[in-house]
Amino acid sequence: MTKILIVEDDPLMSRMYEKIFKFEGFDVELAADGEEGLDKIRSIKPTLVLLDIMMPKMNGLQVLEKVKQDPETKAIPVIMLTNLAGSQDAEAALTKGAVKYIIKSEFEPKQIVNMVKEILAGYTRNDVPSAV
Amino acid sequence: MKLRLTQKLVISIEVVVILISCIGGFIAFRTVRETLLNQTRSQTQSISTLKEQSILSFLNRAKSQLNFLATNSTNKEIVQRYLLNKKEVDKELIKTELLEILSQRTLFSSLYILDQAGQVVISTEEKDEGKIKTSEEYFLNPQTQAQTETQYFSYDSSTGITILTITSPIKNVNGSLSSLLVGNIDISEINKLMMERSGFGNTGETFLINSSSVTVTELLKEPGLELKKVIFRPQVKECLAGASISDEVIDYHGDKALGFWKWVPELKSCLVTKIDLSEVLAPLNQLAKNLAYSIGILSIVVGTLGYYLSKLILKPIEELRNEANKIKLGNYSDKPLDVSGDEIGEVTQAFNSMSQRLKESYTDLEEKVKQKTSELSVKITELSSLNQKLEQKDYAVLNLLEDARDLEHQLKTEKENIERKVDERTEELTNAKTKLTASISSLPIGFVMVDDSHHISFLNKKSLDILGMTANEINSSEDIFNKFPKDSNLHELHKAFHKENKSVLVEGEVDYGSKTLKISFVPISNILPISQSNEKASNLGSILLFEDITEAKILERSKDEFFSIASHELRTPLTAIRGNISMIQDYYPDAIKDPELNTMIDDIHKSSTRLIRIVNEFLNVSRLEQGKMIYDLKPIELDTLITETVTDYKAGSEVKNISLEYTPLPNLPKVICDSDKVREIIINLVGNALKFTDKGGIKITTEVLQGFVKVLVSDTGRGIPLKQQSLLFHKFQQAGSSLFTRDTVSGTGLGLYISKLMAEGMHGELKLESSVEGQGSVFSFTLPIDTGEVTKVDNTKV
Repeated sequence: MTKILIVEDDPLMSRMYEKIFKFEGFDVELAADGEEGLDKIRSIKPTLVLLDIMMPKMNGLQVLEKVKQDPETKAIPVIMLTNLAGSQDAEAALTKGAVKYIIKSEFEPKQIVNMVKEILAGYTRNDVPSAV
Repeated sequence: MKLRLTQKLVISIEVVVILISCIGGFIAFRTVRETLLNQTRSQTQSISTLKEQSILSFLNRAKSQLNFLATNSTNKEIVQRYLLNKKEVDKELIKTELLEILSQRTLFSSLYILDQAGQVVISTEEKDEGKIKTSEEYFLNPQTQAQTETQYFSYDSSTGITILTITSPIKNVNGSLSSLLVGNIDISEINKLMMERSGFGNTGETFLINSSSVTVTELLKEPGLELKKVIFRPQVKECLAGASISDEVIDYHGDKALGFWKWVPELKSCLVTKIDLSEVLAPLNQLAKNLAYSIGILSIVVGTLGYYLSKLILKPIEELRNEANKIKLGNYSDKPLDVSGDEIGEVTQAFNSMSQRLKESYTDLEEKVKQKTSELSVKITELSSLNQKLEQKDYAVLNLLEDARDLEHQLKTEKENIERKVDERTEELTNAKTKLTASISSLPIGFVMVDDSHHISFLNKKSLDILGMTANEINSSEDIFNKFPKDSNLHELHKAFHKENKSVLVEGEVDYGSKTLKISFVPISNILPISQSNEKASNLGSILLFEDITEAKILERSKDEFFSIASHELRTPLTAIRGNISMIQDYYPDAIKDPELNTMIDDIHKSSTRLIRIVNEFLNVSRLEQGKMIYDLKPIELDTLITETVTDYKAGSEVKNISLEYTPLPNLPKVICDSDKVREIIINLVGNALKFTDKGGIKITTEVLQGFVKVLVSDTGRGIPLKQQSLLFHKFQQAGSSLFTRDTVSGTGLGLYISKLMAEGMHGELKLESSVEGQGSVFSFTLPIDTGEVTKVDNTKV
């Protein structure tokens, strides 16, 4: 079963995305801060990670860096899901190995699920998960 | 002064006679003086010798007396005994002996015996017994222990008088020394000897000077033995060194004197014999008087004799003179003068012949004079006519001078006028300057005036406040610029600014410590009227303006940050609202079957969507204004981009029943741009056109310009009133709408502003081409054509 890990400190957001992904038949795990997110990535080994940037303890970009450094986890695709609109952040995230940078407010939850599905489809088609 | 020949002769004779007698007198005077001095010199010497001898004989008497006492075998025996046994009897015996000597003769004032330890054992003065005399020279001198010896004058501190000491050794029977017999000679005895005159004039005297240059005997002019005088003079010094000198000196009293200094070895003293010169030379005065009398008488006699003699000699000359006087007056006597046989006779002869010749030439001369006189009278007549002419000319010149004076007066008036005007202008200028200075001082920005060579000509207080410097620190603009960060290169920039002689203002923002300053270079150019110059501006330097924009910057930054954070914080809850609503719509259609509820849910969704769009636009503006917008510049097929975008809007236009047409241009070149941003611009322009157009249509066309492609969006809408056009591209402006009517066409009013900033961010421009109220508007934007050079992603800040 496809397992999605949502790393998000704002319960409003995490609840909403949890719901939509469950509706769409995904297995959803939640983490409320950067450290918990990193731990769960290592322990659960989710199919895909939705990673917020502004979070307590460890921010999303730091988590991304650690995930991509660790050979155990570096193949897991990470989508940055944030409301930070700065293009620099997007650039930084993509160079660090995120597959996509999504601004929450610009998309409906359903659209986001669709994007995830597209990305996962690409992965399954090629069977070679790539960081970039 | 004219002197008659007679007088000359007499005076010459007188002078010669007096000169001769004076010289004679002087020689005689000198001779007599020398003789007198020589006599006195020898006299002083002989007196000196005499005095010395009398002193020496006095001393010898004293010596032999003492010697007798010391060598008397009885005495010797008693002294020896006393020194051994110290018996009072022996002492009394000796003492009696000594006292007897004192009473018999007046040579000694006191006598005493010293033992070998230098102690007085027996003395005629009882108070002296027991005194130690070891420091006395006679005790220290080994000679005094061998023979009777005279000691020089010394000062007796117990009595305060000068004494002369004589010693004689007392020997034991076996010949060894037992003791010393000492006799003190009363100085008054020697003084008496010295003061004895022995026929040496009134001022002649003799006195003794001891080895310390102090007089020990009485002085004639300063009587009293206690008045000792120290006489330092070379003669005394030489004398004390053993010489005998005769010399003329100024004596201790200030009188001129002739002296003789004789060394007296026995007394170790100098014997001075002297006499006042005035007394010695007294006979000379008489001689001088006699000489003067003789010369006086002689001159009278010679004068009288000379007068008569010269009269006799000069008689023929007198006659000659009289005759010459006559000739002078024109009387030529026919009778020649008598001729004598001597030299004067020869002169008379010559005179006679000269007189004859004169007479002849005079007659000749008179005729010539007459002739010349007539010639002269003719010349004078000519001159007087010339003179008349000159007078006329003079008159003309006077007239001219009068005119000149008038002119001068006019000039003066004119000059005064000008001066008054200059004064007025100066006052006006001063006022203007005062006003200007006050204005500059009151400016809220720093004002520094710099001349062409970068020296400060003027600065206001505000500039010092802003720069945090004192006026003393600033001499040139370089002093100011050095305070700025090195990389700001302000000095170089300013120099270049001066060099280029720019007539435009240059501005920039520079960090200055914790401050941010806005600096402007304003040229000072004196643009002269075209007629006076070749349209060239002469550079007089520049003005530097410093504006402290730190606060403004902080304010602006915090405003921008507020904008950005607020937008971000707004977006999260809005996203939750919209997301949840859309999920309700998607996954719970059964729950909202009620049409009312369905509409309400739909309205909530639309509202949140619109809110998010507004927030996003705010965020965009904030980013654009802060220059944080990043453009992904790439070569783009504009044709495709427009076609795609227009297709999205077709539906909207069809709803409003207005046409939307895009007329593509064949072979449109690629442009460099960020396609997302261009799409946004097109959407904004087409969206606006749709909003404001109720009938007719919207046309999109393209043009190729120099280096750019221009996209034009024209509509047949309501148009934009002229007075609103200028506000069109400002933040929150919607042309033609007031605050209250805005909601008829939903929008933030940021669309055009954002589009314009983005077009500029991609090196193009966006503007309103034309707009006619009621007929429609044309907007356009340009994008640079791809030249093939820039293919990389170019992140350029606005």
